[in-house]
Amino acid sequence: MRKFLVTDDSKLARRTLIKSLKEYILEERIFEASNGFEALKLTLKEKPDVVFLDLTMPVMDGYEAIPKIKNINPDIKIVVVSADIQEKAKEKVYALGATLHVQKPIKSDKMKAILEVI
Amino acid sequence: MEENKITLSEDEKDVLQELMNIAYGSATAVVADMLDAFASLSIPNIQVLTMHELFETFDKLKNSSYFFATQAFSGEFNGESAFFINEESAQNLATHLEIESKEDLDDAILELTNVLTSSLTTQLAAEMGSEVIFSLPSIFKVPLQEIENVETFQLYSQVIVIDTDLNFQDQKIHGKIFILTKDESIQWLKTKLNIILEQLI
Amino acid sequence: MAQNETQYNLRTADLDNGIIIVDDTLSIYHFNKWLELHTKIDEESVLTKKLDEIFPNIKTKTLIRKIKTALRMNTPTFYTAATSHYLIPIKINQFKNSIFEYMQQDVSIIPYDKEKKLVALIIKDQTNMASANALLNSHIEEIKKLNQALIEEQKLREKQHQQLLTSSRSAAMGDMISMIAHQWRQPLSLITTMMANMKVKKELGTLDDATLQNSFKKIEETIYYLSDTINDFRDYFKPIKVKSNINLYELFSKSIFFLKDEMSQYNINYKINIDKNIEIYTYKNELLQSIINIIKNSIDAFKETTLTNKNITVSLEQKTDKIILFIEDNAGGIDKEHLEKIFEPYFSTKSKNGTGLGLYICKTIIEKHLKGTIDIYSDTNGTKVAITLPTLL
Repeated sequence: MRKFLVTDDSKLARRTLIKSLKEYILEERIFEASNGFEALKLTLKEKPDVVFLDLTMPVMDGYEAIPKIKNINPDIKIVVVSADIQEKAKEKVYALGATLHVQKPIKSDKMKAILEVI
Repeated sequence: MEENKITLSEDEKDVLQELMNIAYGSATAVVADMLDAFASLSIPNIQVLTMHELFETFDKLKNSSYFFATQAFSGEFNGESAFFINEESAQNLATHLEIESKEDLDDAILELTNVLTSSLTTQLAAEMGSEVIFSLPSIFKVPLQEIENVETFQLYSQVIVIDTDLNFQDQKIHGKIFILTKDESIQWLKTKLNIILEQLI
Repeated sequence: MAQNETQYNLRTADLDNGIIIVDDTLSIYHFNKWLELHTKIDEESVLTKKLDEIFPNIKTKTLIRKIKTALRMNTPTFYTAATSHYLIPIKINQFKNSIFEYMQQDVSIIPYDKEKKLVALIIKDQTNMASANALLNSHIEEIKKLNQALIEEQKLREKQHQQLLTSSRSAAMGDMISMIAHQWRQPLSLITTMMANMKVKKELGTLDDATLQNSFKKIEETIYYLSDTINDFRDYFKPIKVKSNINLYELFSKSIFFLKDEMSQYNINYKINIDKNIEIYTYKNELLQSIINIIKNSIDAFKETTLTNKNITVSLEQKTDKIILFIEDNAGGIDKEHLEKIFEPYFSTKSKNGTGLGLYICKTIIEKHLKGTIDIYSDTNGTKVAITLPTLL
């Protein structure tokens, strides 16, 4: 069973995402971080297989966190969950090593699709 | 009016901020397409202000000679948007869009205001699952020194101000958009935000 | 917006608005009756043609941008008459809207068919509104200009007024210097005489101690007197404006001492009918300047008469919170035609030396600084000036 880390500075965004994630994944395999830096710490400690990552966050944003997380574990899957749907933003996160870029918010159906892809 | 001062709880602010973030993401994508440029997104700032405090905020912006446009939107969620863009950014926008006349530049700024307002408010209402119908927005340009005389502003006692930066770094175009919504709409918004919150528990 | 709602809106708008349906390459799909009438172009002749070919004034890039944005967002985009004036050039033949050569238009670009990338351009005639606005703006400009001119005139007037006050002050100072010079002449000659006397007595060996003591005492007294006049003079020209308690009797007896010489020179009887205890709280130097001015006017009036019995009388009437000072002479009065202009600046009946500012300055000082009023009555007998002042300023 895979472990999941959900990273977003908004509590609402985390709740929304976790709610749909719980339909497919056991709650104890889901961890939460509120910015890039916390995500890094939890990546080291909990060794998640999939990281959901927001882009605009205080302390350390998504762009900075992607290569650092990849550095810890090159096989980790990073799903960028962002409001920024500009083509350039997508290109940028893929270039940094993200596995997937999806538009916020993530409801149940979208989560199912994501889990099938990764 | 002081005694009726509406406040937003941390949770309500968080929900609104996140919804706004999503709405703003889509709005920016439209503007980015329109300008064929890439914008960096920032976290929207949410405050409940009295009109006096709002004018003070505007006043600080006025000093750097901003262009200022407003647009009204109506429906269950209604209010007004105010868009500020400074002289330098306006010039850069003109260069970027190969605009030569002052009137075409004004037109482009009004268009930016319209795109941001419609797409922000439409998205925001949609995210809250509301049946809000948007009537045609009216748009006009206000000379900076007359901001306080804008008649519709006199109707507000306090406003939820959602301000966020429009930031095209490469083109050096920076703007600030305020979504102002007044008393009844604030209550409506609060109710909706709490429904969203309850659904998550 | 729902398709049928849009179409309903289009139908109602058809009556008095222009409607063009185009795709995002500006190919025309519909050109309504209203436009046919106004442009005198048939729908038949424009269908499938490009809008910017029919109307070359249209900025292709801007319009396509607005159309694409409207389709992308699924909400309208706009041109406003206020900034863009018009999209479709339609000449105005009406006289009343002659400010504009072309019809002023608000244009809404409404998504019509997302699949086919069609939008409806709704054109509204805003010429009347734009004319009204233009007219209003030109009036506002004019009012702003007038207002500015008024403000500047006001500033200029205040500046001139300030200059007047300053020059009246220096004129008064000049007057006082000549009065003091006159006043010093006698005591100075007294000192000179006594010293000459002592010198002679010393040479003759008749200078006794008593004479020496006596002479020194007299010289000393005279010097004190000279010194006092200088102090009074200096006080009077102190620049600081300070309010103080002023005894009115003293003001008319002591403070105008330098006028007394002149009055006795012309055999004028000066009478003060004021209770010795009455005080008011006001600006002393300003009040003094006004009073000197008025009394000097009376003295000057006597210089031109051959009267034997010359009187200047000062009296006072007490009210609850104010006093009225009367300064009266019997110098024959002022001509009626002059009386009307007496408080106007640069008005003078005196052939020479008169600046014409005296009474104008008096009035200004009394009204503006001392918050009082000044009135003047005159008949063939003489002139009476009444000054009303608050007891506590």
